[in-house]
Amino acid sequence: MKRKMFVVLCLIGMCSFAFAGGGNERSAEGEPQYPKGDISVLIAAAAGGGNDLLVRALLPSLERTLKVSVVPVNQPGGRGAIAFNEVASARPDGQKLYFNSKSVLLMKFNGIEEANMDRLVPVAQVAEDVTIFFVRSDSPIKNIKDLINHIKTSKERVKSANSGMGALWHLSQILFCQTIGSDNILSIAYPAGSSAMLTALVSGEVEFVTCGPEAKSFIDAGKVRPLCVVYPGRYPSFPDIPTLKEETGLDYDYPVWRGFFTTEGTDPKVLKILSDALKTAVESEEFKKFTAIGMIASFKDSKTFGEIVDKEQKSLEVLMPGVMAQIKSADSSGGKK
Amino acid sequence: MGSFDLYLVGWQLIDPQVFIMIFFGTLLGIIVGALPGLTATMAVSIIVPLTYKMSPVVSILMLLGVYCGGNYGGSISACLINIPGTPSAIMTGLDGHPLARRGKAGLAIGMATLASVIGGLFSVFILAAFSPIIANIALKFKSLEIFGVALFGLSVIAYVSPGSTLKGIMVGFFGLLVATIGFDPTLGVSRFGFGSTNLLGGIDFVSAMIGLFGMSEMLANIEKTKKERDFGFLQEKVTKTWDALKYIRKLKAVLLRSSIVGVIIGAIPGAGGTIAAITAYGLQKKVSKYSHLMGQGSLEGIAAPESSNNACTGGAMTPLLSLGIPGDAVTAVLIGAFIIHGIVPGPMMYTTNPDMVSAIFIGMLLANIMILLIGMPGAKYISKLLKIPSQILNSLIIALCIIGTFAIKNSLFDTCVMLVFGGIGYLLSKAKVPKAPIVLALVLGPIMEENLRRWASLAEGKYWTEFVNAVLTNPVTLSMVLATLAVLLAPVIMKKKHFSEDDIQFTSTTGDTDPNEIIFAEKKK
Amino acid sequence: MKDFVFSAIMMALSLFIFIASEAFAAKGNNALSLAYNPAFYPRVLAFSLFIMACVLMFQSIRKGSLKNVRIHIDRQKLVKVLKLFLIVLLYIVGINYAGYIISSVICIFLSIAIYGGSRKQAFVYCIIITVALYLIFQIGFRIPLPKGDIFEYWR
Repeated sequence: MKRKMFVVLCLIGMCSFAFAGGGNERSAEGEPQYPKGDISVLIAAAAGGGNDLLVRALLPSLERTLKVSVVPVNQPGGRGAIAFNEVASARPDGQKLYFNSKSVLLMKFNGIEEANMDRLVPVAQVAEDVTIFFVRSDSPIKNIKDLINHIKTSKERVKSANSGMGALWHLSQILFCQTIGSDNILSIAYPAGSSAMLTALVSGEVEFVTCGPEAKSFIDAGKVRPLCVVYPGRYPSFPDIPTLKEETGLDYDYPVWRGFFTTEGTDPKVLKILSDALKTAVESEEFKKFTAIGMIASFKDSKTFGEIVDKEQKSLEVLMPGVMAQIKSADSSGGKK
Repeated sequence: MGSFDLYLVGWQLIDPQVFIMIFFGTLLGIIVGALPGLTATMAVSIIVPLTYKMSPVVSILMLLGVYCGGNYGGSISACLINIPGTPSAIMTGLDGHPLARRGKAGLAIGMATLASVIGGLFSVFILAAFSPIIANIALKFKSLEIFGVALFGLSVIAYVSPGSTLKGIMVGFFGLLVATIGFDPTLGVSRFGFGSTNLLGGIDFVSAMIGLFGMSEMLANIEKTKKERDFGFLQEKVTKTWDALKYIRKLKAVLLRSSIVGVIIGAIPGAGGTIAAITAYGLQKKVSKYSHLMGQGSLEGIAAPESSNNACTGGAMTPLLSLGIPGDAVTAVLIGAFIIHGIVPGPMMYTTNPDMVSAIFIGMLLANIMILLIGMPGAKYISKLLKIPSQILNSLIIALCIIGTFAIKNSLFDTCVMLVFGGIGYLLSKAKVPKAPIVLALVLGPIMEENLRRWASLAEGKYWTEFVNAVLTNPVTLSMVLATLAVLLAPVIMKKKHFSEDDIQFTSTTGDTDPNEIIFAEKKK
Repeated sequence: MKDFVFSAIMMALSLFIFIASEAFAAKGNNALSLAYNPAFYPRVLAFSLFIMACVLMFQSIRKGSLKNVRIHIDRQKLVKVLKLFLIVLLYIVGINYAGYIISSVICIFLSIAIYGGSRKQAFVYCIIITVALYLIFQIGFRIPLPKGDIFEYWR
């Protein structure tokens, strides 16, 4: 009886080797064997959210092009740190991809030390977001100039919402303040994200909000009034909203990109294959349907994307220490000009 | 509300295929709900991408079936094996299980089924009739009010701790402290991380719950001999579920009250079935004349949470449809389903896709009816799943607990959390300390802290003035304050000693209550 | 006696919170600020917990728990519980290193056995459960189950 069990256990052990082998292994002769089996995309967000849907909209086309299963894996833990770590410490064979927005650059400054961008290499950018300023639809503030005036002249700090101190939308507001020359705002964190921020705006808890095109349903409901976008020209999904530059002559640079990364050290040929596959995916039918919610498709290949990421990293290195210090020394007793 | 067109036009979209898919969705939801370790949110998130290839109506209605079924399914295992299949069934087991142990499993499940269906149907009518109005009220909630709701929910801890209230509150505070692990909600500073990236993400409450109630139950089970484990009632069939119908009339106040609670809580973005069930149970315990019977097999204790958690479905769909804002975790995932099919949920839906909106009302109606049709006669078949010899069933549940918690976020850390809380839960039952407050604290604690501190930072130090201002100008704040005060002061004012240790026997999973004393709300009336 | 132990543990926990929160407490101006001191809220909780633990301890001493110090521990049962705990721990560690399939088969087998099943029954059912869960999760839900670190190096 014991021997029989031993034999069966061995058989099972061997079968699991087979299972562990994974998906298909088709490739032309002589070419680097990529992809070798299923690719997993680690999404630093929960299922059903903006980032998640974006990736899922790209999958069907990716699978068609690469001829393997591309599996989305949601790992929202640790504000994206866990997913980051997993991809950064994986083997550089291009089998594990990481998807996030520009927020990934900010993680390091927010206390997540392992989020060192040197551990990842950019693959491609696929979409672009934009900063839009909103006020309540019944607010006396009718355009961005009014808001700027209000900020400059108000005795109390003007309340605004962001998605996290030192995070994406907060940074945009800080740059805005630097551009207009006044920091008379009190920006409060709503870690739950844009819908919480916009809800707070509608309930009157804050006076203005900066977030992205996910606010479309609030705009359509007539609950919020968009004041301007911060973009080099009019934003394609919302051509009726004027740009900051048009309205005031002032401007600041804040591209909010969303893209794919993989482990540092991956073969450039593999990166090219992925990059091309993503280009096709961005132009696919399924993705077009997705961008109807407001985000625009914007493809940049690994080289261009890599340059964008580098440039931003450098400017953040200069900007962020000051920002974080400002946050830490926040005063709890009333306004300061 | 408009003309009746809105309600009728959806029928065009509903063909036999849709019927079948709603049926499957609901059935799947019930089964997933009944298995501890799998939750409705998980099931819905995973099925969304699978519905890519189907038509919008079919996929969304099927998902709604999973949603409604899932909220109900958890009650089956909660009643039969005292492990809630989903977090929203946490309170159901408090009364459902003792009742089932008395040989009245059919009655318990029948009650749970009927209550779920009634709650669900009620919420669909409210959804259809009042969506814009309710959504608007929910939108007026600022941080202070949301804090009030969370505080109100937490004060319910005092009422759901069988045995010592003091120990219940203490373990609740323990839960609140555990909830602070992770990133600080206001400043983003990492707390109690001890250098571990995993801990920085905080303790996932679903994993903790599965550990506290599932794993610890398994650990406790192994102490018993095999004979003790195969509970008497599992050998009996789950029959006579329709018996519960007799009691519906007498429970109509309970059902109505709990359903209203469920709809409102569902409509508040961020609050879902679990909170609804807990609040309804606590509320019922506070207002009931037979509250000392709750926790020992009272039908009220089953009706309240079950109708509330299913009423949450319609409630959560309300802001989703009328404003494009999700009312709870599952509806947040449902937004994704809509978008995949090119529909952006929001008020425009009522003008651009009225047939879709209408189909949703009808679909939810059908899903709830399916629960009735599947649950009443079918619960016994589903319960057969739980009839497998205990050594196999327990091992299956353990495996599900492990794989299920892994599947939530693809992280073995969550599984470790599950195991740790399993150990904690085991020790707590040994020490006769209630476990439910921990889950309450894990769910409501973060919401409470985030909103309280946000209000504090917005008030810029002028706490008292801001508070008085809010109470005087916002009717919502006023009612919130009054409600919370009422809950906290009621026992003092009414001098009812519900909660002293001497009165109530601690009903643990191995509780011995006299089988001759059949406790129904009906008997006492 | 159980209450005494419970309250003692809670007291220790409260003290621990105070110490551990030093690492992220704001100093100086912000020390007592609800809004801007991340440690304020946990400390208030810990303090209240401490007070309650004192009350409970006092109550339990009054009921005479210090006179009867022996806690009744059934050694046999405790051993069984610890065994099960270890099996689950083994399962979790095993999944990480040896992958889902091997760990499941071994640990579920052990689990059924420890709950009183016969060897044959345990063997049959551990295979059935492993395969069933594999089908449900990997194929049905498309959640990749861990393949095990040691297999990663065989490619």
